[in-house]
Amino acid sequence: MSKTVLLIEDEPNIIEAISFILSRDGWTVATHSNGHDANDAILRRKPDLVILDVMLPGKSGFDILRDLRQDAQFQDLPVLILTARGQTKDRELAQSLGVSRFMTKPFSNADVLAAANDLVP
Amino acid sequence: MALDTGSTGARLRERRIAVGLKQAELAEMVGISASYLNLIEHNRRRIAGKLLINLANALEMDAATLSEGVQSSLVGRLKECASDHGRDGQVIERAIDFATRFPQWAELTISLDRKLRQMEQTVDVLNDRLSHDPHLATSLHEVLTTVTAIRSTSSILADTDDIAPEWRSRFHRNLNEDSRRLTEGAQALVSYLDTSSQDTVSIGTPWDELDAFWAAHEYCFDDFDHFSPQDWQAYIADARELMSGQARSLAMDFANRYLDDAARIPKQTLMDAVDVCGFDTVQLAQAVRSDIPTVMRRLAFLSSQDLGTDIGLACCDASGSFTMRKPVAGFHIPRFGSACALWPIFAAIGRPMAPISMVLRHTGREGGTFDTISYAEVQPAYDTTPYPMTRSYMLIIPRHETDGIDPLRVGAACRVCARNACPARREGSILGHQGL
Repeated sequence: MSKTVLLIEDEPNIIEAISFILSRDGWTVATHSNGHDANDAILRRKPDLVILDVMLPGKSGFDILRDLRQDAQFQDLPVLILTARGQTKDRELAQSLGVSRFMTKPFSNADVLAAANDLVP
Repeated sequence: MALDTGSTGARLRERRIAVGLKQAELAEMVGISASYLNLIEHNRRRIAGKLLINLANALEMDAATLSEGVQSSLVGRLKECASDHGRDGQVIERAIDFATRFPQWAELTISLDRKLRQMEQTVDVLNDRLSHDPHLATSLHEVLTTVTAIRSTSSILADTDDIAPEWRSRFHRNLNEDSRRLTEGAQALVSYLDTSSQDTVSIGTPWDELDAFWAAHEYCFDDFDHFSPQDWQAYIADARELMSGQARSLAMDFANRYLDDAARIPKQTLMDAVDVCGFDTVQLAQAVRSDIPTVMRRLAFLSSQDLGTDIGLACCDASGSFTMRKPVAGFHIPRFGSACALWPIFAAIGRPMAPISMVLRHTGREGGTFDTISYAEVQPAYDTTPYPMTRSYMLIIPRHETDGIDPLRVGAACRVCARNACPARREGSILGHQGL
């Protein structure tokens, strides 16, 4: 069975590009494009990996991550944050909330793929 | 440093005529009325701050020369410069030596110091701007996001050999879309930065507009004492400084309170009381049977000509955010709430209803010595707040007699403050080694 990833991102063309790269590598990709019910989407799909943007309509990626880690079943779920806000304070906040990997935009496709495969071998 | 008003107007007039400008022409260049310029030239209005700088720029002369005159003592300025840079007695004593033996070097030292002051002010403004500019942050985020999509899509096209034709055309279309969006984003950013760099203190928030409105009236509204609210409304609707609806509504709040204050303490009553009590705000409040904040607001919005001095006023809420700032030459009040924690206006919040009188010396390059009175009033708690709301005021009056007093040295904000070993320091100063 192939590995599954849920991509939570609101930019259509970024969604398309990342979906393409991961699908070609054999991942099953699901996408979700707003913040407010993102946690429900994770609960429903139970992916192997979550790729999360920070600036999302309705609820920020940080809040989504915080709520996710409250749930015992998701404490070890790999979460990759992909954000244009790469300041030290954002990185530190993500780390304190239990992010597995933090990458800034713009990213290289190869790095995202390598990170995904590293987090879910 | 007292402004020599007696001759600023004369110098201004002399220079204007020398340059061959009519009053109306110069007035238009700096955005004031010709009749107002006429008052300035005849020394009937004192000027300082931005208007002084604008006038100096328009006449292509140095603002300090305009305000101080070319005759002002080289030695005096050297001494001031040395003491502002924290030099001790011996250095100051030898200023006269230096000025006599190396007059050109002395001039150079002073002009470097002046340049430094201007830069400090620019840094201050830019700093305020960058850290509080949501428009800039949003635009940059938009550009980064579009760049991300373009980079990822183009590298798929470049690196994938066997890409299906329908995917290929889809990615081409995305690229086309995103590059157009990037162009727009980048252009918007450039034009935004362009317009904002023309005038670094350009109008931004509604509060800035209100500040500009006050400044255009030199913080004096006594011609308006008998306006009706409708008159005010019409006047505000026409005021060119008030461009946003929010700014006009802030101005209307101000107008309503101004009318209220003017009705409670008529100008003549206040002036008579000032003749007896001077600017002792506590005594004034008793003399005119009103409260201290009302007296402070009335004083701040009378003309400096009537009062014989400029008077500054700061007003803040319990979070320390300024809700009104009337700066006075030599006492800079930062635009956003990050002022010097030593200011008694903040101490007053912790001791409401108890006036605090304090002599302050501002450490800024053009800082002066000031008598201040701070007072916090408390508004009762309503259903919506569990505790009373506090509003704190500080009246700032330039003090010329500085012998035999020991003022508290305060700054504007830590980043531009030269005070060493300060218990209230929050961050290091850009002025040198004054660390935390």
